[in-house]
Amino acid sequence: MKEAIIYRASYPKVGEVFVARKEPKFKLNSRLLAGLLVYFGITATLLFLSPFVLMEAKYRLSRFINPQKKALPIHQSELAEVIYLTNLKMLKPINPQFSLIIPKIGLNSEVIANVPAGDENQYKQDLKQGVAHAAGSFLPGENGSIYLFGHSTDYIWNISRFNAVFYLLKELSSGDQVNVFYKNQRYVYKVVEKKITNPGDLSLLKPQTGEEKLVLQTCWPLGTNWKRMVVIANKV
Amino acid sequence: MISYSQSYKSRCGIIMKLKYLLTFLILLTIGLAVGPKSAGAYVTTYYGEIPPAGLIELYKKVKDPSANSFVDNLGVNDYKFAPGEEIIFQIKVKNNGKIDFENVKIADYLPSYVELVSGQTEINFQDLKPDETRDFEIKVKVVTADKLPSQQGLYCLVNKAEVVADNQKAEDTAQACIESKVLGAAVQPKAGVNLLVLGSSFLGLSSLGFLLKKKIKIN
Repeated sequence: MKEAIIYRASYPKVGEVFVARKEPKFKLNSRLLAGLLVYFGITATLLFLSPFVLMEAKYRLSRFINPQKKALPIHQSELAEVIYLTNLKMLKPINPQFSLIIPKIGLNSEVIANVPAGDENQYKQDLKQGVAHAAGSFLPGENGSIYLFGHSTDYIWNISRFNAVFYLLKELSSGDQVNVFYKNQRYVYKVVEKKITNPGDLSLLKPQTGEEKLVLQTCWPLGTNWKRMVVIANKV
Repeated sequence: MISYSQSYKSRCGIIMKLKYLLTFLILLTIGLAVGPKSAGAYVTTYYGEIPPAGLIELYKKVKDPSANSFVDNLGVNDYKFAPGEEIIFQIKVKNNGKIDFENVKIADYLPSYVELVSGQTEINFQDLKPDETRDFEIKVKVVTADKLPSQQGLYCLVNKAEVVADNQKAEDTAQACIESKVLGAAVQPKAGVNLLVLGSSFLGLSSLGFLLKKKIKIN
């Protein structure tokens, strides 16, 4: 820091001194840097959280407006079902060949069939398109367990194709309806259990015969890979 | 008339026969003293009555989830359990004798890589009547895949149980196999990204900015 002693010649009293300080250049740069850091940090945090805040807000609002909207009626006729869905502008499957619809959380996603659960690179690619069906597990209509997994979170730069389809899976509870459309047929399941498991617990990934049930899996807690959240639904 | 030489020969023959007889008797005594001891370990005399062997019986079985029934063993070609899956073992004890057992102790030795969920590994009870059977179930859970040795893909576990009823003993084993990978996966798919580091970094940057601002103000 530079200092200069200035005598004010016009001032009557002799010996009064003014000290003038010159601001160093780096201080100005530091202020700019601090401002930028704060701005960038806050903006990035807000952007980072925005998809989740939006999803939460949308879900809360929909529950507030229509708290009774829990399940779609189960029709015997598939045609009646399609008419019903069309007329009421309710959820229609994105792909009737293989889709997942959960009315309570407004989930409507395509399911990618036969994704290798042991090949991380492969399933990461497939998860960008929707929910993945673990290859080797059963398919709807077969007498066994169907294992589906999907993202609970994703990076902000994937916002354009934000695919955290299972973010709201945490909101499901016993009795909630889950619909799977497979080869133009609708299969209805009801949630019976929701639990948190260790990643190395493969008991539900193992195909189980004797009962048709749906296993929906995602990561938990949100934003981490520490554990897994699993929702089990039995066929109605 | 019998000559002297003939009488001598006859005496020698009797002595030889006696020698053979004596040797046979000695060997028989030794044989009886040593031989039946091991076989007679579980033979007990109850007021003069000798009950049949195999008084207490123990059967150890494992539940086959694919058939929903208990079997002696599940081999490598049978149903294989996954990490985290539950296995149910059954212990059956039966009094196959003619007298009551006053004290019955069952011990179950759990193998590695399983954790007890329900049931007891040490069971004591009293009074097991003839022909009476008692069943016990032990439920265990296979440890998660990360706790299994990474070298092998298939592990076969042997669960042993033994029973001691008064002075009678019996034991049996049941086998179950575990596969460390399911559908080619050693863990459930990672369906989510780790945002914690990224989020913390953003918050850290803004905190650093605030700190810097504060420092500038103080100066």
